[in-house]
Amino acid sequence: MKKDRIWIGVFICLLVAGIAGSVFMYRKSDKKTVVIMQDKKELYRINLEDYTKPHEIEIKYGDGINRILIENGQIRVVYADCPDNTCVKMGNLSSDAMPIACLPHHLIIKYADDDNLPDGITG
Amino acid sequence: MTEVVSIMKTGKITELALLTALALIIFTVELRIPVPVPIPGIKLGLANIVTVYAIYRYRAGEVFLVVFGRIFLGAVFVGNLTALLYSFTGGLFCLLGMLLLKKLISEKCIWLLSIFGAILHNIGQILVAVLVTGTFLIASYLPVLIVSGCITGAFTGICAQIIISRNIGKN
Repeated sequence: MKKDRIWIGVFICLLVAGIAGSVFMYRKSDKKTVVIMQDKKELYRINLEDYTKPHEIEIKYGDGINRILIENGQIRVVYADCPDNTCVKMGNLSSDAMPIACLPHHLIIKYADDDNLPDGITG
Repeated sequence: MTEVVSIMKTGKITELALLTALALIIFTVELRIPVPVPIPGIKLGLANIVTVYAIYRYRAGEVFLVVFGRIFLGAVFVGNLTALLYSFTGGLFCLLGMLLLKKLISEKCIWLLSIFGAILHNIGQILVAVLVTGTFLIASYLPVLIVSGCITGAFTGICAQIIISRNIGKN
């Protein structure tokens, strides 16, 4: 007799943990400082409120390219030449925990852990 | 005698090739289906139906051939070889997990096996993403990927369970 019930229990635990974790991860952030990273290196540290006009940043990765737009205190990827385009579909950065990621280009856009004002490395 | 053996082998190779081709077709068609949740790594994983079916009908080594044949050819067809590392690790996690759990979960609960496979696949992918980007923050996608694995895994598992319970393809 294989113990299916135990595994159904494991499944339910995983599902509940997953849903709870998702709700937790999706919570909105009220931070204003955003960090753009590539291959562990911090490329830009941006205060979103510094830009009153739309501002576009282009980031190259080998042959690849991502265009990032800062507009109305929001940041998002508007163009990527990778096949899946997930980062573009993710829209504005809103979650505190979940970054916008372009995995083919190793690009990460996230809220800064410490909400300090940028110190000289601004783009 | 040797002729019989070689005929059986040819038959087996043909069956495995058919399964691989079938999985590849499903994989390619799935690329055209848009995913409503834009999180890296979320997909329907319909080709998993073939994997789960193969796990119950073929030996472990043969299932490996089908799955990794499909993964490699799929990456070549799509022209996205950078994604190969992700799907390869995901496929390995999924397959090893399902082969192990097959001994623990009865044939009435194939959908359950498929769910664990899907979750393990996503965990494998996240692991690669964390290592490749060097950002542990990527792991924050894991809860969403676990939920999506439960949903898509259940769907593909139920499909596989129906196919297996109807004894399709069994001599």
